[in-house]
Amino acid sequence: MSETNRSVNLPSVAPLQNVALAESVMQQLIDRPSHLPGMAAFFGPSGYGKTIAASYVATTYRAYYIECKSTWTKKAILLAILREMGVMPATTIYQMVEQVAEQLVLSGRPLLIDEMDHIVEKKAVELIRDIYEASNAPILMIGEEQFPAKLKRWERFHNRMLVWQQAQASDLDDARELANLYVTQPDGIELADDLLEDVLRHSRQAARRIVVNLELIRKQALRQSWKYVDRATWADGQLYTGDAPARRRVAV
Amino acid sequence: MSEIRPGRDRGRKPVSLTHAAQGVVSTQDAVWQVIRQFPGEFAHRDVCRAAQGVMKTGVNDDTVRSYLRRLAAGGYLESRDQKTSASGKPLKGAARQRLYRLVRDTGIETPRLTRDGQPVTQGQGQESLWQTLRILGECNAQELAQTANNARVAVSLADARHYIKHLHACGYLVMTSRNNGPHSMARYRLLPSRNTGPKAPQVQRIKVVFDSNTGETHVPARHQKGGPE
Repeated sequence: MSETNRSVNLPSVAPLQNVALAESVMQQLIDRPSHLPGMAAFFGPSGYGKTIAASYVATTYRAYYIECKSTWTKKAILLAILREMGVMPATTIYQMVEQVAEQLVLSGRPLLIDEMDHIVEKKAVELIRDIYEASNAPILMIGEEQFPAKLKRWERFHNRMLVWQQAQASDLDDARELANLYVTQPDGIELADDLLEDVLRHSRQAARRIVVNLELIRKQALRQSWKYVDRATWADGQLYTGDAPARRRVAV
Repeated sequence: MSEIRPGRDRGRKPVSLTHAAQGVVSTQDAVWQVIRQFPGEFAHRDVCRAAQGVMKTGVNDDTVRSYLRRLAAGGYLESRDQKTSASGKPLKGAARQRLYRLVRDTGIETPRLTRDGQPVTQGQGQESLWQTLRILGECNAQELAQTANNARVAVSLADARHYIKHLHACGYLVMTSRNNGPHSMARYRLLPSRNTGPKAPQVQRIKVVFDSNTGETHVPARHQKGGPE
């Protein structure tokens, strides 16, 4: 676990498109000149690997990470952040905002807020702005597809954003990388590009569904002792699409 | 059970026998806490006195001195020799002392520094693993390793396996699907009640888990008295 030991070829999610995007957004926030706004949004449909990206970014930059819950109030958000920081919470909300801001300024660590949608619908958005105004710290918010539209209502918030980054649908490179991480590295099974294209199509380019399909293929390949799987080998094998099953019809 | 006598013959004290385990801050934490509150310059003696107040026990002068030196080496403190007393009289011999001033306050987190003032890297891997576990919620060792491994901290599959194994034995993780055979990996989920806080639980040399968020030590279930074999 040493920092210098980089010679070993360790598996990493770093080459995935969305992980790299989230990382570059965070880097932009950190490198920005201080007169530019310091908040950013990373948003996209569920299953695109946003949380994996968030996790990678949080550990890389030692960000304070919170994941919002639908039941959270302003106070709950502040308590969660303070808990992450290890600061004993003060009693009132405005004092807590000051505590959070102070710790962000002194430590220089960024703040990462996942599932931000949950608190956009409440007044809590203003709270995040208060924290930002008081600390000028980099704040990365992660949310679902509708997140920017929901934020539009809060104009004062809206123009403090440095970057709006949409999570990208997986492409063939991502599929190759996932196949490498989940199939080739653990079990030494190679997957051909034509099969990966099918996987991409059936998964509608969502990373989570791609992983499910890769697992299907991996299991079948192990059963059949395939070392190399392409479209022809897979033949009529089913792939997972994530669709709910259709109504069954009685055969006439 | 024979009593364990820390600090005599075995080098460094196990973390579970230090002050952190008794819900009290360690000397280093106490020192950092008090020097953040001094308004101006302070001497070693002032730090010792204030730290004793925080810890409600005696503190070792040398522990404090060595930490002040490390902070100065790391650029957190500036220091100078006091040549004259407050009233302007020149000081001689033992009356002279070194005065420190905090120049770099990095917040509540106590800096852990080596003798030459560099940040301590030990424990970074487990910190990364713990944070990733908390964010992902459920994963297998492979997924944990590839997400926790990043440009700042290198984490291998073996590290992830080791950490998962001991957290599972000590009741932090539940196994949601078993490892059945050479080509499968068990999946684990972090128990919400054991998501105790930001500090990574440490796997100690005797394979018990010390949680510095709560100050508790967790022993594997199979070693507990009266527990299932």
